Amino acid sequence: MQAFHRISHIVLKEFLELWRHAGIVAMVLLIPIAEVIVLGYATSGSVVNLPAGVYDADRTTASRRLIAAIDAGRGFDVTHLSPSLARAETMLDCNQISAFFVIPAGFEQKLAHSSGQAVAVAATIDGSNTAVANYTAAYAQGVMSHFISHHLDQFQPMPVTAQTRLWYNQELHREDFYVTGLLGTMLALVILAITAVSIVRERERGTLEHLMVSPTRPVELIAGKLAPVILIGYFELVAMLLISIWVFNISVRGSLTLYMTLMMVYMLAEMGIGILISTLSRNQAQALPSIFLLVTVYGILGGFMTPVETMPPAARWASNLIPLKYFINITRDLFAKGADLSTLVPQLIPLIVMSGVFFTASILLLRRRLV
Amino acid sequence: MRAFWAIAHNEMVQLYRDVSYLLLLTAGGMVSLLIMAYTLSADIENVTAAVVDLDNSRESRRFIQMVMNDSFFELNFAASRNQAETYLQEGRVKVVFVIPADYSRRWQRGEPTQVQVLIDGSIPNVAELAHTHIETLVNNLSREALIQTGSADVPLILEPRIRYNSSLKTVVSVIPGLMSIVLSTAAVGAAAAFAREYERGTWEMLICSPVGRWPLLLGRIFPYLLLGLFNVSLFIAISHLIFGMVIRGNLGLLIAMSILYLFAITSTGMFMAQFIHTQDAAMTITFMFFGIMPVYLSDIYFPVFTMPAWLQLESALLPATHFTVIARGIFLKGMGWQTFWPNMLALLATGTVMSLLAYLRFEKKLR
Repeated sequence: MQAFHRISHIVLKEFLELWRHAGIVAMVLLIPIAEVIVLGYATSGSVVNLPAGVYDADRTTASRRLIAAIDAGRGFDVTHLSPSLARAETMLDCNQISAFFVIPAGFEQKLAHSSGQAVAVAATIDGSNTAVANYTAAYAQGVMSHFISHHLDQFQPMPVTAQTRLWYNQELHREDFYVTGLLGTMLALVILAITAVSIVRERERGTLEHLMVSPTRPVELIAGKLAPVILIGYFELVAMLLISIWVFNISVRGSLTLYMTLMMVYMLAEMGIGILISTLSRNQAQALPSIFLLVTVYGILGGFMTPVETMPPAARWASNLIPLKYFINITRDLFAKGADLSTLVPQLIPLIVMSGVFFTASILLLRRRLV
Repeated sequence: MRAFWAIAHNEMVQLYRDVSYLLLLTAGGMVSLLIMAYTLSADIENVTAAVVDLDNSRESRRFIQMVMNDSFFELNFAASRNQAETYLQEGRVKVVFVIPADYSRRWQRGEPTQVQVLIDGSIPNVAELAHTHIETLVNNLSREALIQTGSADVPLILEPRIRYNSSLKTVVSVIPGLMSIVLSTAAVGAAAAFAREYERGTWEMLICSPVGRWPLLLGRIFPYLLLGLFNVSLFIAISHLIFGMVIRGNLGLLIAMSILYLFAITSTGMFMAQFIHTQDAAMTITFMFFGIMPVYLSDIYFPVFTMPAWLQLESALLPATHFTVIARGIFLKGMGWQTFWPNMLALLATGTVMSLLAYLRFEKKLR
């Protein structure tokens, strides 16, 4: 009972301290919400209607039909009919078009007299932004296949075709992928920032010694300091979830209750890391920017921007040591595929182990540094 | 002029005294560059896939061989359709091929055959790329079949040519963009410098000195311009030595443009610092504006033209967006100022306006 009193006093003190620094706290709390909004809007637009140019060296009915087909598809918007190849190249250089097609002279003729030789239409694609280029290449291929099967009357169906079906994200919404990654990354940011700042602040002011000589036991001190962090963590997650679901219609196929429970394990792991970081920083001014930098890198290694499987071996190995990676997997599997507890266990176990390890290590280090 | 150098010297001495801070501003950016570029450098390859061969014929094995030859896929075998679908559900594979039982029969009879493909759409990038590879593969197989049976070849083929980045490596596309993020530490430092004066109480002393406003403002951010330049050289060295990036355009132009960008962001940081009086707040806010927002909004990774109008406007206001256009133009396209002079103008305007605003806002009076 005594212990509970002491802990609740520490909790109250922590909240008062946070209130005193309301400015910076508000900022740290606003960042996840701002990022969800920005990221959601930044990725919810479909990569379609790419501006394209065409250099038509043939100028026949057939070539014009091809141009119309390229424009009609959702991938491209034919904005320029270039008078020359050089002009098309310049437009590509100046970022006015994402790609240009070259229809060779003799296009209609070669098509009509199917001589057994294929006519080649060249598509020059701007590769400087690979995120767009991947789509551009896919669309170009798609437009060609579509034209062949729908506009060439004399041609019989292709011997082999693929009938493709998409599982889980039929409209290929990009925002689902990124926002699910962002949730864990932002949680890490908030937890690390507040945990580290609260401990570093005590060190800066020298009040840690005061606390050590008080009847509060170190374990109670830690518990008291972390309770507000947990509350804030849940608050942030709920805020981010509300925005994701209401504004961006992120699909949540699995159980949110399960998710909130598993989140606790993740938060404990992150808090452990937060305490570790704070034992290493000497002042607040140093701790905060280091944490921001860390979280950026942390997010990328954890699979927020690109899936971990597509990373080079050293990065993949490093990401296995990061709690965020497992939490992002849990988020993505639960939201997109509706995974249940039994499927998530392989992701959960490393998290449990890590929270245990980080927490014990950080408490031991904290004790040692003070005594 | 003397006052300018005095202030600049003062700031530089303060920087040198705090080695860990200096390290954060220089090495911090470089380490994040290394990790980010390295992590994003593997192009999507070895995507796990499973194939269910319900036909088990020479023709179906030819299909499987073609899939295996494409390094994009890492092919595994599944005993049944159910097993393959379970793999897909568990995330162990991202693509499933199902070759129907009548594949070879239809092939021999000259009838069109169809292979069923299931793709995990939860990672849109991978799904799109898988789609392209499958289409190409199936087209090639079709052409093979046509040539074998002696019929005419496919009448029309696409010849894709990728400009500026022929192997479509992500790292080549991302590194010029990362330059604007890595250099943002200069702005963070500049803003923090002003906030530090407030915190330490030396602000009042400076106000009482005969030093004019311009030397006070510009002298204080000058060392961060130098820091930024140092980071530029480090960046170019690392991107070349470790990632093999070659600058197609003019190196001198790149450095000049970097100075312009640094001027724009340090002035903005300086202006922002007029309103913020604590160091941690200054660093947080500037890091948000120069280090985090640009990652999403400056066209480095997410295409800006797909965004809603208000977000595109925000993107256009960020110096990082303009610098990314310039950096990509010089690194990848070998372009000169004739192409991106509007972006140069935007950076110059930002720097000048921000400096002016800071000057007007900055009063040598106790508040």
